[in-house]
Parts: sequence; C-alpha cells; structure tokens
Amino acid sequence: MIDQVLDYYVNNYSAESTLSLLQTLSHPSQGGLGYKLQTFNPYIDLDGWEVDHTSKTIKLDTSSLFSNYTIQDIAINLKEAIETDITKQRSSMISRIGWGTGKVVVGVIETVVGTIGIIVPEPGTTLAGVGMVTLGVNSLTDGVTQLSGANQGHGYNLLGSAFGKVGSVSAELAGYDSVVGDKIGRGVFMVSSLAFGSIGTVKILNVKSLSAIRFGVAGQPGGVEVGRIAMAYPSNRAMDGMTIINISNNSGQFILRFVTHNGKLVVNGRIVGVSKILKHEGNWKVVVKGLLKLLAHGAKQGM
Amino acid sequence: MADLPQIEWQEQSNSDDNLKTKESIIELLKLHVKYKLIENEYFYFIAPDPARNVLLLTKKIEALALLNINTNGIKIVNYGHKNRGWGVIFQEAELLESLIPLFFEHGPEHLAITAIKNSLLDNHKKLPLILSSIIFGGNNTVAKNEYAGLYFECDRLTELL
Repeated sequence: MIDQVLDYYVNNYSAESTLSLLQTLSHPSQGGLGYKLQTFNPYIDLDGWEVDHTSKTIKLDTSSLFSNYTIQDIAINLKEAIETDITKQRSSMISRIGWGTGKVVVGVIETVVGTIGIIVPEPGTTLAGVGMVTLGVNSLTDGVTQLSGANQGHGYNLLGSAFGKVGSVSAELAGYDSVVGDKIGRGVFMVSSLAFGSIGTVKILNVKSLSAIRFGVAGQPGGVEVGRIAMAYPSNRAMDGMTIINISNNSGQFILRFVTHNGKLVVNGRIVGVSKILKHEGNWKVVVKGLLKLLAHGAKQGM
Repeated sequence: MADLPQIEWQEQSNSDDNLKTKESIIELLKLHVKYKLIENEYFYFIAPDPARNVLLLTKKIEALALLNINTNGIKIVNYGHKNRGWGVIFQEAELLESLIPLFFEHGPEHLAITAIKNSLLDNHKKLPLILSSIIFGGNNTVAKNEYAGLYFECDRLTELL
C-alpha cells in the first residue's frame, strides 16, 4: 500500500512536494530527516495521520470512521502531514541544506547518493557514505541534456588528466590519505556536476579501509570503487557511454545504478529479493518513485 | 536490438517461470552457437561484468557438488585490467542449467554467456585477452566467428555476441 501511495504522491503533486518527501525519508547522515512511513488504524483519528517525532514515524490511517481511505486519501494525508508537521517545523534546516528549491534534479542526486546509508544492509560494514552538502541549482532537463552532450563518444574517465584541473573541489577523506580523498572527491563531484552542471561540496565519510578503494572497475581501466560504490566506468560493449554511479549490496548485487544509454541517462534499481523497481528508466517521476520505494523498504529493514 | 527475443530474468518469479526463462536462454544460446560456429567442439564461458563478490559466487558454485552435480570440469578464469575480470569455463552443456540461475541470482549488471572454440583455449597466454575482448568488446583479439553467445544487462538480453 505504501508503494501505491508513493506512486500517487509523485504522479499528482509538485516536484517541490516530492522533494520534501524525499528529504523527509532520507537518512539523517545524508542530510535527510530519517522519517519512515507506516500505516495504522486507530479507533479515533480525525486527521488521518500522525507524526511521531520521537520514533521518527509518519503514521497514515487506512480507514476513516465510515469507510476505508483510498490511496488518494492516504496520499493527501501524507502530504498534509509533511506540510503541517515536518516542513514547517524543519523549514530552517530544509533551507540550509538546499532542499525544496523546486529543482527536482538536486533532490534526485542528493537522494541517490544519500540513499547509500539507508539501503545498504549491515551498517557496521558500510565502507563509505557520501554526503552532498551544497549543490547549485539546475533543472532535470538541463542536467540530462548536459550529461548527454558531455558523453557523446565513449564517456569519460573521471580520474583522467582531463579533470586534473578541477582544483576548486572541496573533498575530504576523514582520517586518511588526502590525495586519495581528493581523487574520490573529484570522481563524485564530477559525477554530480556532469549530470547536473552544478557546483557542489563533497565529503567522503567513514572510509574504514584504504584497501576498499581501488581504481579500475569491471576488469578494465577506468572508474573508481569505494566500498560498495563504484562510479565512472565505461560500458564498452554497449558502446554508448558509462555507468555514472553504481551502488551494490554485500552480495555484490547492484541496487541502484545510473548509466548512460544511447546518450540518455537511465536508472536501474532493485530492492534485492523483492523486485526490480527501475528498469532502464529515464522519466524523472518514475526515478523518484523508485528512490522513494528504496527508502521506504530500507526503513522497513530497520536501517 | 528490436529483433532480439525479449528474454528477461525476473527477480520475483516462481520456479516454473525461472525454468521457462532458463530454457529460453539455453535454447537461444544453442541456436545462436549453431548458427555461428561451424565445428561442434567448444567450451562455454559465463562471466559477470563487473565481477563483484566473487567469493560468494564461488561458494555457490562449489555447493552444486552437494547436489551431485559434477563441477570438476569448471575452471575459474581471470582476465582484464589487473586480472579483475572473472568467469567460469566448462565444456559440459548440462552445467548450463545449474550455473545460469546462480549467475542471474547473483545480480550482476552485465552477464555474458558464450561458447568459444576449443582451439582458443589452448592458447593460455592469450586466453585472458580473448575473454577480455569478448566481454568488453573494442579490440580484435578474437574474430567474431570464433565465439557466439548472449549478453544481458540488468537481467535483460541486450545483445547477441
């Protein structure tokens, strides 16, 4: 039911509302608020929703006094809950980290990267989390167009000499080799800036072992791999670009990957053991719905 | 692309569906091999790309022996940049049935299932280059009429090799 509510929400409400929902569900370590969604059926609840700030849970009533709520009703209640009890209370924070700008794409990339902390199981073994703090603004259309244009040919090796000039990027690798951190920072930065044409600050968090970092993904030169995040490696056989960012789980299964295909940015995502939720998807609304479901399922796993 | 059969390994499906998909893959592979390779002597090669968590996949393959499946003929091969490419080579066609599901369940981004002429396997020094060429494309180490196979992206058939 939650999945259907999320579908309805993204289909029917503005990009800004969608962003608010993304930020509400994203993990705090990634700049989100870390709320989860639950359905419930209280004896009396005239609002149709409750927000428990202690347990960070948004509870959505499934039945009113006289009949069951429809998916539309529940989505309306969810929107009301966020606008009334989340956005207003947290507006200063939302403003500070740049959410709710109405630029869908910023939310998408922040959530894509921010999702890492939630959907990867076993937090103790999570090797890397990436927090994107300040992104400039752009539109989804501009971003995809720029990516497509930048990727004519066979894609980029983001760590190659062509990007050595990116000196203004602020990258930190906490407690480890700053050169390596800088390289990874550049990679992540370029991934985001290629896709979105924005200037960002990237911070790499909690890289426990340098052995987890390696350059060269997929048995060929190019790309960088940090824990379960791999990025910027070519897709030579397809001859149409590269994997922008790939997140895999402990078993090596891809969870979420952004890849160029025929000059377009498409997304593949799966909730492992449940279903593939994004199959070569390029429509931003579908992508956002998939991300929301990933977040929702991650929360259900107690992450 | 448009002419390719719509073969897709569904993550959320029952055993009957998996069986049908597996049979479709094997049938198409054999048809394609028959069309491209004149001789009837070849090895099979299955490789995920990128190869991730090889240890887990290796254990799953080893576990096949517990089901009385003879895996003695399976050889692990490394290829590509710093030998990070990884795959299995074997001759017994019946092993396809056991191995294909394991590789799909492993959830790789890309998966190549191919047949390669026997004569190529004798060249041990060149074999990694040959396999690399097949998986990644982009060079002429091996002629296209010396191998035949299927290439999947995110569990969906995207190319006939």
